[in-house]
Amino acid sequence: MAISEKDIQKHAADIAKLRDTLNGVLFGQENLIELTITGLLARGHILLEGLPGLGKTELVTSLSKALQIETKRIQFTPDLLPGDITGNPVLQETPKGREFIFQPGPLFANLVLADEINRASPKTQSALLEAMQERRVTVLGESHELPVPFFVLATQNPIELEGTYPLPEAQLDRFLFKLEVQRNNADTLERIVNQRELGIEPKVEAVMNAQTLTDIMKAVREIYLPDVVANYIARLVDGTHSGQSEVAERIRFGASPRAALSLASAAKARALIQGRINASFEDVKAVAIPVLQHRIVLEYQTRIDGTTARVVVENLLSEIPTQDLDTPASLKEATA
Amino acid sequence: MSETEISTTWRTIARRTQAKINVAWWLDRFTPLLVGISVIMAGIVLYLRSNENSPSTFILFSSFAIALITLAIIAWLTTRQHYVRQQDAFVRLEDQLHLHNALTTADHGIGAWPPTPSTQTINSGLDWHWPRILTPFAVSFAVVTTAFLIPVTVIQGSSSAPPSQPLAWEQMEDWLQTLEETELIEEQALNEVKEKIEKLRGQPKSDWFSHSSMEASDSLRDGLSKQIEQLGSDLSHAERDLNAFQNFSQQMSDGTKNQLLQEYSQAIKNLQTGSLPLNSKMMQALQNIDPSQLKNLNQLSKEQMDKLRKQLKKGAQASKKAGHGKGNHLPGLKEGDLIAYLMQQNGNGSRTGPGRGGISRGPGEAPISLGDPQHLGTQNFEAVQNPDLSRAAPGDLVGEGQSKHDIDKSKTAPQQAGAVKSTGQGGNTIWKESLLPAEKELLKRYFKSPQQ
Repeated sequence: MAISEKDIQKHAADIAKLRDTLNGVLFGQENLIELTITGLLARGHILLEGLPGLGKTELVTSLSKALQIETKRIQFTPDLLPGDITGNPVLQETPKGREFIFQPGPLFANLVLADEINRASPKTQSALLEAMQERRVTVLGESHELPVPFFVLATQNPIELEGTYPLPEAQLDRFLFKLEVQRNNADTLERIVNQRELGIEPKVEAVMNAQTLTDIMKAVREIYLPDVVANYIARLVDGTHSGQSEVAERIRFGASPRAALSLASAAKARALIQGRINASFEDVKAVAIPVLQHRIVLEYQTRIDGTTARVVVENLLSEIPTQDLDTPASLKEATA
Repeated sequence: MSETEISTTWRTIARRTQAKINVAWWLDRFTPLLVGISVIMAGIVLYLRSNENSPSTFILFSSFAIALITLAIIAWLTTRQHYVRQQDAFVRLEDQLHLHNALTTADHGIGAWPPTPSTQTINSGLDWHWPRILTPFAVSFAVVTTAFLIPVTVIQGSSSAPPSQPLAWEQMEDWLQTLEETELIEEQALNEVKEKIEKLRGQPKSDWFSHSSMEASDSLRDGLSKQIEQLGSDLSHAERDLNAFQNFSQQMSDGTKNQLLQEYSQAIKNLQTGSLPLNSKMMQALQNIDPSQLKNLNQLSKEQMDKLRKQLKKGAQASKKAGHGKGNHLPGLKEGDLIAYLMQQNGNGSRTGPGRGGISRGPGEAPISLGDPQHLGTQNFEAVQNPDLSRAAPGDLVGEGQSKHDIDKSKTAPQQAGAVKSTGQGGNTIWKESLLPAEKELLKRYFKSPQQ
């Protein structure tokens, strides 16, 4: 065993400190913060969907401060070109003469906030998504490694769809999570009003550095994934395909194998956050909706009925049992 | 508690859960088989019990037990693919106890075993479905028990050996033995019959069941049966007459006494001259009674008379037994009804008119015909009663009725003269005539009158 219970507890404590710090900055978004940290530890990119002003940018800013990692923000617009985010070679005078020197774009940061990603042209989106997948950019045949760790937190506005380029399904698949930023309730709003001042950023305590974060991410890989949990993940993903479950009747295209890997990785990250050495069914269930909801394409009729992907995934979780074993008729589920 | 102890405890709990699930699977398969074999077993038990040579209960139960064991093994073999492993039981437990797969992880040697909970909180999440489990057992028990307890008629003779000699011989020998036991019949007469039987038996065995032999046997048996029947009748009459003279002579009219006297004399005569005569001792006793003095019956003491009657009665009963209850010896009449019977038959002996309704009382018997003597009641319905229709001879009038003709009154269209409405087939009656008895009588009189 490469990782000990002691290390697990230490990492869990660090993560708890990070979580508390973020909760102290962003009020009423505990679940969002929990899942964002989970996504980061699972080496995933996150797509945040929500109305403006709900704290998406603040979450990214606070995260970067707490983690003490370099953060850059890119506002995506229709006229944004790939080179604007990846960087361009610029002709410069050097001792050897004039040379094209690569000037890194805003992608070269540990944490990139791609604001309103659906407003950029497909070409620019594609460049970003390639960088997300391969963690490097290639300009004029020359590859440039992105810094480690590298995360993209993209946002998109679900209501202003005019003049946007919705992300194709294949590109959505690159995001580990799609998180919906919920609006705050009255109590939370009151708390925000009392404790925040417009235009003044809250002070965020640095609780971790990039090295610690990298260590924790390595530890996540060491988390034990029992065979039964792996089997559950496989059956869940398989259940999104036609004929494999009742829910699948409402799905046109099911989730990819990358979805299964994402589920496993996210479940491990959540187990570490919870201070456990192994992933469990509960971890899989907790991350199933953010992992799967943007990876399935619903039937037209299902969308017309107003059923969302979240509801379909919830039904899938209800339908697929954790254990693939039948119960004999001589036994019945205990009432209490 | 050490880590090893905790591990052992969890493994024990898992084994228990595993056994529970596997036994449930086995029961799922075994209980239908149990019901099926019980029904089959019940059928076999009923069949065997209905035969004479049924095997013992121990063998039946042993067979049932072997069948159950075989089915149990079959159920185990066919449900093996459903059986869960200990690892599956761990998963079940940690799922129910919200242990986040800690048991599975610890079982793989990664991480520590979670602390064991108290016995009360251990729940695999599965309870026994008792009604489903117990019902097949109860049904099976009820079916098998019913098969053992329900009354069954044993079918005999199905497996018995064929008779070694004609049955008629055995029957006659039985009858003769019964008559011998009464010691009333002349031994020589019985020996004559025995000789006839032995003569038949003296034939080669291959001829015992020949047509002629069977004919002769049946003829001899029928003759003996009739003789025994006659003997029983005569004995019964003699005993009854003596009984009447002994106990009811004071109440009888002279006509009745004469009737009984004639009957007694005839019975004694028959007993004396019959094919099966009474032995000399008995005959002597009966002959000692002077028929002319029977009216007063002062020749024998009451004890002697009772003894004589008892012997006659015993002989009559033996004859009846030997003749399988056949015979014409008024079996339905009790002693007290005898006089009434005779008076009814003879109109009190001395008179031809109605009786007096008893021996010494009452205004007399009611007349047989009531109402207007001129009216013979020919127009009345009268059902002929024949309670024993099996004895009705062909042509006997069983009943008579009077009803209207069944005339088809439905309207019909005019028909052409000579047109045949129904062609009929060969042998059919094309003209049916049914007349009422009165009409038939009228018709008969009409055609007879010119001749007369």
